[in-house]
Amino acid sequence: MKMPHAIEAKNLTKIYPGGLKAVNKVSFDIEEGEIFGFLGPNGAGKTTTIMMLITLTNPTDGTAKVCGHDIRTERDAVRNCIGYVSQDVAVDDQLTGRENIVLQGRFYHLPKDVLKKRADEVLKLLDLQDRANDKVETYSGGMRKRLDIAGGLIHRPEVLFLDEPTLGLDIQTREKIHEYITRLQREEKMTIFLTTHYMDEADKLCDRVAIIDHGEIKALDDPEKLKSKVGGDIVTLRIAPESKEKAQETIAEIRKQPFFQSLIETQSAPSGMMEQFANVAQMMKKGKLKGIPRGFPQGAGSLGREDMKSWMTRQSNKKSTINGKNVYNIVVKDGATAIPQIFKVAGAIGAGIESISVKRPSLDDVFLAYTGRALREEEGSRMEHLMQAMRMRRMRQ
Amino acid sequence: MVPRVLADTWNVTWRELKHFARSRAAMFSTLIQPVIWLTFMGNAFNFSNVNLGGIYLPPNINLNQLFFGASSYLDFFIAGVIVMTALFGGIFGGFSIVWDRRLGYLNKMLAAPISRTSIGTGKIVSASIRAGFQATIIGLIAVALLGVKVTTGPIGFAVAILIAMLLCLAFAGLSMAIGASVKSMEAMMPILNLLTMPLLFMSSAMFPTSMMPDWMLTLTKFNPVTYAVNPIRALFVSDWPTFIGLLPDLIVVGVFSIALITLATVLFRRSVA
Repeated sequence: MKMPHAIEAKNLTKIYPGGLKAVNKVSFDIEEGEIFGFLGPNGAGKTTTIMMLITLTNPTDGTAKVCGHDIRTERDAVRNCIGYVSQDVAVDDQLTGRENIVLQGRFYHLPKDVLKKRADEVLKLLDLQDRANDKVETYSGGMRKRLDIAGGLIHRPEVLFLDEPTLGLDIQTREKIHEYITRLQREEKMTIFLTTHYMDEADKLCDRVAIIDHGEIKALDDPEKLKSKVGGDIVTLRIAPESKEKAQETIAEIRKQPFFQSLIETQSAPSGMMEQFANVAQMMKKGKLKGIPRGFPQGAGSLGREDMKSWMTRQSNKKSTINGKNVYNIVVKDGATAIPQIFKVAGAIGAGIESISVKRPSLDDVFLAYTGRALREEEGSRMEHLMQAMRMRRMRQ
Repeated sequence: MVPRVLADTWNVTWRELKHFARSRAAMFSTLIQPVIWLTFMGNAFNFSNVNLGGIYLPPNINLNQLFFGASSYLDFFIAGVIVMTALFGGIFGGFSIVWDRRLGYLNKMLAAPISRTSIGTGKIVSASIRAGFQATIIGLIAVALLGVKVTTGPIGFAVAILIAMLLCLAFAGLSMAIGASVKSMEAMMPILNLLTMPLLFMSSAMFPTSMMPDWMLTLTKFNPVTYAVNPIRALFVSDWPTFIGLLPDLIVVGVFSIALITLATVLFRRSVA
């Protein structure tokens, strides 16, 4: 009997003690053999969703079936059919590559002869056979990640969960990992569920992408369709900040033009992860929460309340970077012919154009269109850098 | 076919023992500390060295025998050092669960279909095996280099090591219970440090209870360390009948171990539910 879906999630909800809503009524179906991406900023609920699907966290409400087994009531059956590769690069430094793989195979109760054969296969698949008998502490970051993925494959899972598979890796290594992921789908016929906050990664790898923000799915489709939904071309227009009124007048006039399709609205709300950190900090202050809830990166615990507090203060003082700079993203039918017309309109009103650019919509724009925020805004906060630094340090050790 | 929970436990234990075997620094430092205690503390307390200022003692009175019930403090102290090894090895045994949690390795294990109980118990068992190994080396050093004698012979020595391992199970259980509850290394370290010294000093490990004030003596009665030290000491300086008389002490240690391992298992299962 063939299963209809590799994963079926229905109204999956996770509310942490204290009322933090990490995932809110998320539903989706994933076909067998599909690479399905969860795309969203840190703290959007991606990892929490994975934690529920791999049976490490119980959903507060709703449920899901993985390989046809219920994640609440048939946990061991789910665990047997899935592989999980966390964003932490959880390999054991003191063991050799092969020992890591074999130990993991023993966790899945593989018979000895099968395990030996399979270990050779996965080591070869991830190009690690030459270094398999070296201690992992001598491995590079990319090799560790590959070893981690190899471990997740040891028992031939039907569904492989990859949480931020290329986080903190350099560009060449990322490309390599992308190749392996596509190879897994092609050669091993594996269903892959991955989370990422890299647009290009989702675009390149995924058959379908769900855009998730604040614990909710905002859009779900194949990347091409998502992009075409945004419209034609996107013109990014920056108007001199001193002529705020004129800028608004210009936009009002552009709206009336025949080439105009839509304006992507932006807002300045604190982004997902940070908002949730702020909540967590608040709850810790009130004593409602002991430690960092599961599903959050563990490193968050060592940042301390002061980091969170100072972050919150700075965040509330910060004005919208996009609106403050008079930047507008305008969707038009055809960028090349729209630009001269935009100049004409702005010239007539007397608004100074600082810069103008045109591009085909990317998943960045899709994200912006569905959530009102640019995903790139997320990067660059101190908290993010600290967490990244911690992850990197761990990987290098 | 080995039951699954035992196989899982062994896999967890295997990993911990590999860590121990591969880390020469850890092995060296855990060995060197007890040896320092033995050499310095053990040789400092010796009534044979004390200048009595001309006071005449009848030849049938040996002060070491009188105070320590042994021909030297070292003979008395070796049981304490072996128990100390078990205590330290156990009490820091739960640390690896916090470490695995931080590295993400714990989630990796939890995502696999392995028995939840085995993760905690595997680590507890490995702490005990490790402590048994260390205690053996320390005992052998004491016998070979420091002139310590074991009155009950090699079998007595082996039994002493097994008792130390049993005690280690108890404290590794306690440590695991703490590790399952506090979840961060920063919080765990001070708790463990706070526990070790009182447990050591409030027992008969370092000094004979006959020298202690009453309140301290009472405290030692509530300390499982005491119940492990006394039978081990009997094996080193007394004889088999004395040891047999102390079997109830061993039951106390055993009950204590079972209780703490159970507590650790319950708390751990709850922490990952």
